[in-house]
Amino acid sequence: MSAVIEVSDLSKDYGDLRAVDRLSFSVASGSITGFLGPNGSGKTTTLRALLGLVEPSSGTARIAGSRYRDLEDPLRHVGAMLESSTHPSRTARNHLRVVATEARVPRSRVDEVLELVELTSAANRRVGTFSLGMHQRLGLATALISEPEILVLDEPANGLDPQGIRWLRDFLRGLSDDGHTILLSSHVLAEVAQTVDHVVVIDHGRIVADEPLDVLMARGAGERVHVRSSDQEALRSYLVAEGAHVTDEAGALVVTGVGTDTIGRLAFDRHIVIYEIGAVRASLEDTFLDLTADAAGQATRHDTDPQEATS
Amino acid sequence: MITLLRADLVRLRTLRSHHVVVAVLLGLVALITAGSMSDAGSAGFNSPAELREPITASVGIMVAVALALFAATRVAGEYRFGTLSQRLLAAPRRTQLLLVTLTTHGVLGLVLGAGALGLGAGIAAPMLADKDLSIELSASIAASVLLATVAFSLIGVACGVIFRSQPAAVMVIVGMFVAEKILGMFIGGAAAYLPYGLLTPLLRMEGATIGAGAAAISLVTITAALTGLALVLFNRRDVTP
Repeated sequence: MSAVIEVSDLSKDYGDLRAVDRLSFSVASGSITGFLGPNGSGKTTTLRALLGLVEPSSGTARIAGSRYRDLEDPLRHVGAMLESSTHPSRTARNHLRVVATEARVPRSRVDEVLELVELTSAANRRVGTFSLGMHQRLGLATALISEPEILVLDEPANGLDPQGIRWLRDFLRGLSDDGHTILLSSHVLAEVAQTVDHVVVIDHGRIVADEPLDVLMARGAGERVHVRSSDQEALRSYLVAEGAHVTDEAGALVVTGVGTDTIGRLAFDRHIVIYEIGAVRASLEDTFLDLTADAAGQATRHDTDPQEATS
Repeated sequence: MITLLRADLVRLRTLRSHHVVVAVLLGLVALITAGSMSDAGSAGFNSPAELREPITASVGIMVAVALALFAATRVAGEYRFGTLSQRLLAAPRRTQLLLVTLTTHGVLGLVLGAGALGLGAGIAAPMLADKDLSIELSASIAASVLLATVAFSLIGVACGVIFRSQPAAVMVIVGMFVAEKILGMFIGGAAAYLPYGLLTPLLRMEGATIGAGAAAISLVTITAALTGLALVLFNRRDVTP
């Protein structure tokens, strides 16, 4: 698949602060890519540089081979959802009418996208009275109004309740199935874990991972085995002798470094009865925390690293 | 450019507060004119210049300054509410976008100025006709009034872009009036060339120390300089949340 979004050696400085540090990644056509990182890691700055709202200090950010500002009729190609870009006193329908006029799409499209994001009943309400979830839906409607093939969504799941997150996941999956390319940022990783194909993780403005989600999961914190037995202390000492790392959690041993087969064999050989054993795959959250903790550690070790970046 | 202008007009039309501003300004002009003209014919208020002044001042000063404040708060509000980002997504070439905003507010200044002037003249004419008086509103004076409303609208846009904050932009526009008075104590006659000072000669009001032509050229120069500065800053600055 060809790349439709390409960020190359992108840096952004705000005075002495380096918000984005030589960032390079690409987004393949038709994929959903999660752009992840903690608050202040440089996600929003990167997305704004991609959309021509922030001028990079160096490097480039291109969409379909061009800078955003050089795209002919940009709304036809790219739909963007940005944090807070609606006037609170304007109704949802009127907000979309403005965008529809700018995008040169028929006014009937306004009602179509309102229906698409399930906001028809609130169309004539002022945006200032909307809940966070409704704001997010209106942002999606804004991004989709000109039926662009590329979507850039800044924190679309922010503030959504579990139902809203499920709705968003299904909605984005549907768009992806229709061939849309989606780049979405988030700092709440569980929200996007079931949505994205590929992840780019940044911290302190630098990339700490850029790979398919399943690869990231596999190489992350690894498998953890929870085990309860008739003699926890004896089992712990045998496991440590075997090279495993063992911690306690709610009365169970949490074992990393050896698998369930090894633990079962050790217990059998030592006549220890296993009451409960189960492997728990590392969540994206665990992996993310490990990755960003590593990056933070490196940043602490190198005095030249930026201390904080603009989110 | 036409598409963006149409979108900006939709933006203007779809906020109730914008309609309120227009209605209040026209209402004030009507009230001031009607109130003043009821005294027409009294001592010191019977020459065309004297009779004209309440109308030219209410439109050329009050409406002009209100339009400057309106433009400044609207433009600075785009930074406050983040709507500028959405506009830039549609029109990423910033010079073009600022020209659209300047055109919108320039046309608004022209239309509202003409409407207010027409309203004032329309109210005054029948009231004065009964007393056999006239305001003798020439095309040249009408053009000066419209220049004031257009120029101050554009100055408002420039202040909104330069300061990017509604309170700061409003304080500068309102504070400039006071600052000019204070500055006038130190720079004497040169104060006539400051924006508010220029309105007196431009509108042919009493106390003018320079000609209307010089005032018009000076106001156009100041407006051009401020919009030029706004253009440079608008192109250079990042748009952050």
